[in-house]
Amino acid sequence: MIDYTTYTPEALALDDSFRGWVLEGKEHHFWKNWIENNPAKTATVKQAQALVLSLYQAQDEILEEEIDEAIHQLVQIADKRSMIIPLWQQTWFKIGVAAIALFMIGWLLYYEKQKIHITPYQQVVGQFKDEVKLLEFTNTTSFPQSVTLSDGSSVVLQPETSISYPTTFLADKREVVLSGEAFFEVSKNPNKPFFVFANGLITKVIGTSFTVRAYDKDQEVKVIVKTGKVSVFAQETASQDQKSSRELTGLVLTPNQQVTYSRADNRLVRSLVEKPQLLALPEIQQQSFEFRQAPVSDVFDVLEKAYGVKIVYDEDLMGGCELTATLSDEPLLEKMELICKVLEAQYELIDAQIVVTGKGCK
Amino acid sequence: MKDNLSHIEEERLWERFKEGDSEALGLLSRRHYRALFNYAIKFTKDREVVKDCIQDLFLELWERRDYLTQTPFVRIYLIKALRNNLFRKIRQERKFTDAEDLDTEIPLSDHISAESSWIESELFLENEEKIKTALSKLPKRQQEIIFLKFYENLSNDQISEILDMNRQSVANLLHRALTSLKTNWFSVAKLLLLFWK
Repeated sequence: MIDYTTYTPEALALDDSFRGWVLEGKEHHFWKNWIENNPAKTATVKQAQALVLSLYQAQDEILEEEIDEAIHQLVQIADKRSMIIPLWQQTWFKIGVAAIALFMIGWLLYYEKQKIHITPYQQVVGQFKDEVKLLEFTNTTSFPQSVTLSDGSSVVLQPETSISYPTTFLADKREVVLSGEAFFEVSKNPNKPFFVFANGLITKVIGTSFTVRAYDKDQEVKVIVKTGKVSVFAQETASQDQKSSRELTGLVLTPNQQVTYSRADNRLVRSLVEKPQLLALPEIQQQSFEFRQAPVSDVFDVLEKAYGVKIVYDEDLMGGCELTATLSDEPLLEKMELICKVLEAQYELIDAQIVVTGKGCK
Repeated sequence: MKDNLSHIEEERLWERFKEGDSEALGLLSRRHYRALFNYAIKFTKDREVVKDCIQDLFLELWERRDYLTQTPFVRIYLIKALRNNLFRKIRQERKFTDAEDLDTEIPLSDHISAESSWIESELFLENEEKIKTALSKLPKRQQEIIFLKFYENLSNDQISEILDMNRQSVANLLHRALTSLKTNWFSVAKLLLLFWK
């Protein structure tokens, strides 16, 4: 039990039990008894009581009518707010509208992007698909890879390059579609001109070797001739005549010439290849493939690097063979044919690998 | 003063409130309005700001009624919520007359005699205006704590919860508040005496 007899009026006023009695009439009996038992403390109790009551009353700052008014207002607003909210003011409706708008904007953007994204390559491939069955090869590696077409022509693709070509060519022409950079070695066939469609530029050849550089992202297309002759013309202006004639019309390019086609203004500019080495052409376009009593392993090494193919052979058996040959712009498989003739060996294409088998040279 | 509704009535009122009965909102709010007003007016002299804040507080509860599981019509809870809203609003509107003294304490004046006769009951009770003046001269925080103690009749524990400070600080602040009140009281009384002479 707390000894209240030592309390000052302030301490008494701060006591929860005392205030409970003064303000709320709690513990009435206790305080009544205590006051009777401590008559000397009557003044202290009175002062504490006065302090509590006056501090209570001094707080009051509002009239009953003001409260009534405020509550009346509150109830009115609450009623208004719980009435049915118009559809266009409801949160879920707003969210819905926003979501639909976002979706539509997103769709439009996507659609636009798709539209822009239809590259000349995809466009031509789309047209060709209607006529013939196409195969597509894309070099996703970081080194050159080669593809052999059904007519024996070979194409060495630089990284990030795609080519689409028919499983078998049509009777009167050979058409391929390119995106990126590739070196072509076209097998000779005057009756079936070879066409490369690349970013709006058509390159027409009978049989030769040349590079086409036509990346989707570039505004320019380049054709660089290594051997033979090619003719180039813009896809837009190409007449049926130019395409079908066996004569090379359009802009004719001879070795060490190159043409630059600007897609924006549809212009062809012919120039000389000034320093072929500095063009950073892949090895295959610079190499003459001249071998003098070279070990066959060296020859295969060079071809593997140049064409980006794997040549598999028995090193113990054939490693000692030597080769003297001058190879130039024949397609890869023709080169292999020549080599194999000399070595009295055979080759097979198995899963993009060239497998050479022979008796060896011992 | 406090109306003493039975538990059943209390329960029923709360149910009606949950069901969206605006009359129940009015009744529940009515029971706390005066206390909340008297509390909030300590912080700003703008009565309309105070009324707006209290109205917003109750409307907020009204709109959240579907998500409430327990009655928010509890004095301490309401005081705390109002305190937050009020401070936010006052800060926004920059109407806070003397914001700086909310958290800064005026140093204690030194010579506070232990005179207990300062509470001469009759004089004290009869001069409500005088004690109001004396109170209004206290820092906001001291006014607030006196309100919570003597108007809300809260224990130090409850006050420490509202003001977010420990019990000992509450006791100290209360002591300081009463001491400053005493000082103010004397200066006000002196003025009055001079005036009457």
